[in-house]
Parts: sequence; structure tokens; C-alpha cells
Amino acid sequence: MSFDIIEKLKKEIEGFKDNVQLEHFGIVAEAGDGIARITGLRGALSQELLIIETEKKEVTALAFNLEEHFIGVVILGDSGAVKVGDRVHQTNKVLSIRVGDELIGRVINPLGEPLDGKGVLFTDTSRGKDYTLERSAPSVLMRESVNTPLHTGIKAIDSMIPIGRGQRELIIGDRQTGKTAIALDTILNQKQDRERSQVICIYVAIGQKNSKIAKIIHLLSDAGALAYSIVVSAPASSSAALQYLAPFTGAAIGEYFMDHGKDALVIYDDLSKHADTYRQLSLILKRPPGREAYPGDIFYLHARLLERAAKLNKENGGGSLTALPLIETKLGDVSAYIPTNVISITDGQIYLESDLFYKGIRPAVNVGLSVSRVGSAAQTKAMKQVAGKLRLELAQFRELQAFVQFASDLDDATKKQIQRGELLTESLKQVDGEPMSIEKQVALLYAVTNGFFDDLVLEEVPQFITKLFDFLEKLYQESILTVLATTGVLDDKTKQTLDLAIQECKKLNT
Amino acid sequence: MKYKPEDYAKALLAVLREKKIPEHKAVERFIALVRKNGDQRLFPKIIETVETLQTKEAGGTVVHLEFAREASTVLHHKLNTVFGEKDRVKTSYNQRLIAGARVVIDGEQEWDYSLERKLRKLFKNV
Repeated sequence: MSFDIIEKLKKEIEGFKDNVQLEHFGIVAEAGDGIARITGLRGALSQELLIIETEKKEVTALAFNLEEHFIGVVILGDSGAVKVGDRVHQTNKVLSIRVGDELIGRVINPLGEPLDGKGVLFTDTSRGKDYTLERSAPSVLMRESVNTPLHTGIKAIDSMIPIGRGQRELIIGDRQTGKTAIALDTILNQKQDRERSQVICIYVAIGQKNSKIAKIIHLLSDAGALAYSIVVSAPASSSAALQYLAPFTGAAIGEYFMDHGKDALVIYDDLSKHADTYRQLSLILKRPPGREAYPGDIFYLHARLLERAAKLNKENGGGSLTALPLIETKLGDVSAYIPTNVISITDGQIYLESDLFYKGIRPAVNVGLSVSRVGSAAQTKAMKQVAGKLRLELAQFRELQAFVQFASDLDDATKKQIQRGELLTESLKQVDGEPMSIEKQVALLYAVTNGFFDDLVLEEVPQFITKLFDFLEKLYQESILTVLATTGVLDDKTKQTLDLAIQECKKLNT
Repeated sequence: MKYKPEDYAKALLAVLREKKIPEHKAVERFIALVRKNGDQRLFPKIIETVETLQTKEAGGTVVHLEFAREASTVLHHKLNTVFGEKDRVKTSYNQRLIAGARVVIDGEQEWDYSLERKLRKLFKNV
């Protein structure tokens, strides 16, 4: 090994070329709290990478504030090494990371450095491309309408709040309501959505606990999801600079796959912490604070990030980047500053309520307040057929639920509607970590909405659903499930077969 | 209100230029003002800025020569002939350079001929 080191050193010394040029330089005037203020370097560009020459090593910094007499920089490396008087040089480059297929299955930090101990990335420098973290979003002319579903594997979402490839769908709710669980189920479900092109999933952890990120990586690894996923980790213990950059790294990686005609999904978990980090950096750099002490461009921060999600037209490769930002509310207040900002940017929201969660309705999706602005354009025909009535029936059930508390004598029609609503609610419950394929969802919802469950006792429903799927997999895999999966249509023949199958299953199990 | 060294330097030069009061009085009052504001620690920077501004006003360049160790008188003389009368040349010694020299122009640009820079550049890729 020492021979290799000596050979490498020899090569470097022999090939060393020293061109001394007149260079601009700056001096660190203030340093601390992860930022520094630099005098000189009047020609520095915004978001340019600067090199601070400390006593022990070179530390990279990002030009953030270009003021009259100072440049406010955010230190990307070891901020403890930077001291007043250190020299600073320009690189004439903006911050970028190397992206490519090699990133799949890896855990990296926002600067593209591996964190999983699986080896150096891009040893062959010809592989991969440099993508800048800040990039303009695709123009209107490059885009087309969202038309391909991104199945989450969660019944309540795929039926009533369908997400399409290229859409931005916000997942919003209080802490511990299942936001990350929905995001992870979406990633896990991409393994079994084989009738469409594989979606490359990028999970961006911003300000999360290290233990939580480790659990997520284990979960993805055990489920085989790392084979098509990338994790960008900026935990709470990392610097504010890295937490600020993390979502942009995720977007840059997603854009690489989108530009190469593939479908990518990026999950930002979560943008509330991202906003807090940006506020911290802005206040330290003495930018004027606005509402709730956030800087004036907090909306622009998230808008320019989320606008990078798109469905490209065929002339531009036909790829897509779907964004699932997560926002944590406090006490269910969706009218707070950051939540309203992101709601107005995204193409819909999935609203999770603590009340529903504690009642046992999990996922705790409030179907009434949740919406997908893309709608049925991102649904298969089969799902459209069975889910059409679902929202209405659930809405009617919710109204009657309140009514039932005060009335004792109900007519048969009302009782039936309440019973159907309860069955629907029970059928839509789902354990996290077990996403359901679209064909099974269609079969189940068909059964429920067509009255096949009406004679079941509520407590028997989960068990019967398991038996029904088991039955269909063993005896009707080709004639029902495969047909639904491949064609995406619930034609009359399949309906008849499904009717028979459900009745058979009921006879066997009741 | 906080004043920067540049603000003090520009104010002092403006007073000296106007010549409404004798120079020694202007300097005395200036020192008293800086002490009154509690900015005594800025004196070295203020003096440096005044010298820089005066040099620039006269059309010269502020040159700072940093050597790794004491240079010979022959080298000193040679370097002084390179620059004009209006230029203000300062010399200092910085052992961190290891060997060689660094020439800083107007505090903003530099030619770095030091061994320290070469070694840093060499080992950057290793």
C-alpha cells in the first residue's frame, strides 16, 4: 500500500504545473455559527463556491450574501477551522454534485459524499454528470400534462387523492400522524408497480434524528427498495448549511433521471425544518426578518424547489420528477405561514389528522380536506370505475355520523348508508409498511362499493379482506388480478368473474 | 452608531483636504472623537486605510511584499525600483509562506510565489 502512495505522489510531483496568476482574494473578517463574513472578493458571484485557506486545510464555503463591503458566506465544511484573517479564493464555480446511476442504493450527504461506507462514488470520472444544486425549472413548453399514475399502495390515496408522475402532492399533518409512513409506503410500492416504468426514489432527510434515518435505511434495505432508491441525509446534527442544501441535492439527483427519460420521485422530509434552517441562516447573516422572523424570500425558497418537479413532453425525453414534500403543522393549524405557502405551491395535499389517528383510522387521511388537483387524469380506468362513488359515499357518511349522535330512530336507508360508510372506512384502513398493489385495491373497492360486504360484521372485515386476497391469488390470479394489472380496465367479463369469486369466497368463509 | 474604519478614514481625509483648521488640531480632535466613540481598537486599521486612500488619490498603488524570511538589501533595492514614486510599498515577513514571496496589490489581488501555495496545490489532488 505504501508503494501505491509513493507512486501516486511521484505522479503528482512529475505532473505538477504551477501557473502563478494575479488572483483576487478576500480575508475572513468575522467567523462563527457556521457562517463567515469576508472582505474583498468584489467579483464574487452569488452561490459561488469559495475556498477558505485555514491553517490545517481548505474549507469550502458558499457565497450567500453579496453586500457592499462584505460577502456573507455559509461554511460547508468544518466551520471550527475557520478563523479571522484566513485567506479566501474564488473557484468561479457554483455548487454542484456529481450524479449518475452509481448513486442508486447509496446514502449520501448533500455534497454528494457517501455516508454508508460502501466505497467512493464516481471513481471513474467519466461516469456521471455534474448537476448544479440551483437550477431553473423546466419551462412550460418542455412540459406536458400529468397522465401516468404514481401508485402509493395506500387505498385511501390511490382511490380518492390519486397522484400522478410529475405532480407535487403535499403531505401535511401534526407530528406522529403518519406522514413519513405514507412517503415510505410510496417508495416500497414502486417495487410491485411493474406495469409501468420503474420509478427511482430519492428520500431527502432534513433535520431528522439519526436514529430515524437509520431505521428508514434499514426498512428500505430489508424490503429491497434500496435497489431503486437513494437517500440524501442531512440529520439534525449536521450543519445548517447542509440541511439547507439537502432538498436541492435531492432535486438535482431527480432531475438527472428525469432528463434521461426516467421517472423519479423525491420526498422532502420535511420542509418545515428546511424553512427553520433557512430562517436560522438568514438571521445569522443579518438578512431582514419578515413574518414570524422568516426572511422575505421564504416562499421563493420552496417555490423554486418544487417547480423543478415536472412531467416532460416526449421531445424532451418524457421523463418525470414527482415531488412529495412533507410539512409538519402545530395543533392542526394549516393556516400557519409555511403550510399555507407550500399548499399554494403544490398540486394538492394529503391532510393527516391526529383525531383520526387516535380513533384508529390509519392512515389518518382526512378525505374531505385532502385533494389532488391532477385528479383522475392520474388514475387507471379500473380505479376510476370503482372509486367514483367513494368520495361521495364517505362524505354522506360523515354528515350522517354527526346526525346519528342526536337521533335514535333512523329509517332503513339512513341505516344502510351509515353501515356502508363504516364498512368503507374499515376497508380503507391499512397497516403501514404494507402497500397494496393497484389490482387488489380495485378488487377490494369493487367488492365494498357493490354491496358484497354489506352483510359482514364490522369486526370481521379485516380478516375477510385477507381471506379474499388469498382466495383471489390462489384461484383467480390470471383471470382477475393479472388482467387488472396489465390492462388497467375493469371490463364486463372481469366484473362477472370478480362477482363470482367474491361470492365463492364468502360462501367458503361464512 | 457603529462606524467602520473606512468611514473614519474618509472623514479625516476630508477635514485635512478642506484645511479649515490646522492639521495638528484636526488630528488631535480626530483622536479624541475615536476615543469618545470607544473605537480605539480600530486605530491601526484606520491608519492603514488613510494611507491606502491617500495613495490611491495620488494615483499610486498600495503594494504589500510578504517574504518567508528576511530578504537581502539587493533584492529590496531591486523591488523598490520596480514600483513608482507614488506607490506605497510595505514589506513584512510571514513564516507560513515557508519560502518564496507573495505580492499583494491594493489588498485585493495577489501573486503568490510562495512554497506554501505550491505544496497546498500539489497535495490537494493527493
